[in-house]
Amino acid sequence: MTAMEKLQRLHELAESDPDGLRRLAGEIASECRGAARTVLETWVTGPGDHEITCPFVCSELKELAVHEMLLRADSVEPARRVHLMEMVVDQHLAFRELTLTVLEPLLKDRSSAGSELRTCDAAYLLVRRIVPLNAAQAAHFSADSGFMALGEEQRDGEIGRWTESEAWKAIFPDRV
Amino acid sequence: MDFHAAETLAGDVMKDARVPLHQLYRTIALSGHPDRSKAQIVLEALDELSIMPWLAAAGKLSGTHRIQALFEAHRASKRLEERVVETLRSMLPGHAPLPPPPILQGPVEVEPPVTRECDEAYLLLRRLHRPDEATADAREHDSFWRHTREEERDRLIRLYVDTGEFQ
Repeated sequence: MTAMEKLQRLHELAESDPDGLRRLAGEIASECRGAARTVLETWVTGPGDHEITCPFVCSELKELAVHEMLLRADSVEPARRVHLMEMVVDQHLAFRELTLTVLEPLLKDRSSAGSELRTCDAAYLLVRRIVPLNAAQAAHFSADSGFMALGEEQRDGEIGRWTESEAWKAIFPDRV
Repeated sequence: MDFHAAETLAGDVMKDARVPLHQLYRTIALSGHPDRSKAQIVLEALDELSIMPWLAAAGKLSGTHRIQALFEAHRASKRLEERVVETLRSMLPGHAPLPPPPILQGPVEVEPPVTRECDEAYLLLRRLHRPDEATADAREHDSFWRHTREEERDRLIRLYVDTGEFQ
């Protein structure tokens, strides 16, 4: 099925048909992950001269290879399992870095994000979920519910302190 | 190995394979698109494949839709992390020594330290636990770990399994 046909199917499916929509998702997922599946199969069952090429290609396939690498990890020998998991962890951390990069400018965005929430508040709450803090660092900042109970000025103050914190600056060392 | 050819191949594959994801992104990035809700349902079922489309859509949307896209990306990422941690934890009982990496196989001046599946899984779990540690510090820790006595490494792995804490 071509990409256009998939789009047409999405259009034809009813929103009240979650099974049909999930089936479509399954087909899209299978297709997106197909190349990684083939490359991994070649790596595991093919000749030894693919020992460098296949992992390199998998690593280049980025998010398209993650699911297949996790699946394969269960059934390969330990050295390959470690190699697969290194690539999976790299990709996961790349997702995290990208998310934080998208969130960073939003910490200054005071436009409304619905009800009492501003974009900067929502971005801050999300950043705090993504960035782990030790107990000493965490003591300087509010928990989720505590932050939302603060007034607007206090929230601005906390976000300002956060953007000046060592924990936040450590994520973007090149910008300091 | 021809890295350039492999890179080009991977680039071509990605371009084709990402087309349906790109279409879903375009559908959710338009807040008034008639198929937007359905595209959201499809994306939610795509797990880690949905992260990039959600993040890209967040750049185009505003207000609640933008925040929703960011939270969806985060949720998909958390689900992936849970799977990764589960797999890595399942590797912690593996004490078989690993062969040295291909680049260090054959005669070498200094033998690399023997490392086991559990050691490498522990180091990856620690990386996930401390993702913002400076690269130099992380490398220094990993090297220190690989040169630590096996009994001590086993003790620290047990400590992590019991408490979820790293030293």
